[in-house]
Amino acid sequence: MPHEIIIDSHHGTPHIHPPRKDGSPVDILARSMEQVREIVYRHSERKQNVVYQELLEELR
Amino acid sequence: MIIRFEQTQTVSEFLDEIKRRYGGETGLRSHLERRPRDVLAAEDLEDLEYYTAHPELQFEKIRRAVSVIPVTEKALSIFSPERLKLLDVLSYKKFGSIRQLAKYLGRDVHNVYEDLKRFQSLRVLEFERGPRNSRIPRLLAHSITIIPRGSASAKAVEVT
Repeated sequence: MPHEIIIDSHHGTPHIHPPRKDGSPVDILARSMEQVREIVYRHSERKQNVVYQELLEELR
Repeated sequence: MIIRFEQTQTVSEFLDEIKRRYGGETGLRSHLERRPRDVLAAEDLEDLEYYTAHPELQFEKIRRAVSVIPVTEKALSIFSPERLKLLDVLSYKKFGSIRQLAKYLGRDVHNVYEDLKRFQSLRVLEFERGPRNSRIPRLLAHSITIIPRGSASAKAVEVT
């Protein structure tokens, strides 16, 4: 399980960084960081893990 | 909790950063030919083209941020006393190499390098090439903010 989820907004549009640098950052839907955080927390509590591809779908 | 590393720079500082990081526009294009899936580099190129075409914006401020959402307690280890001291020292002092920095901190050079790589992956700092292929760590982040869960300030911190 990754220890953290990294989101950057270096170019305006937010990107999620794949855990363990497994690939390039991917665009996600623009929303407030609070919403992103809640999606990540709900996902990790539900899955007891971070399933990256599923989390990506939830953030898109 | 959200840990937010923020960097504010002018357009002309951004253009200097592109030169340092990729060796200019040609270097950036070659980088993208080698790594076509590097989204951030692709957007660096997009920004570079835009700002090169709009020199009147050179003093415009750009605000960039990396937000870390901790999923486990181990994520908080980025704020160990050693790592905080490392960031603090880099904020006011320059070093010619990682070895010099490690010596100044009284720490093992490999451990310092690992910490620097961790912060580099968060774009909190970058390495510049120095003499004899040494790597010079340079702090990019101007502020680090901790936003607790349920804090109203998270609503104000938009990622767009």
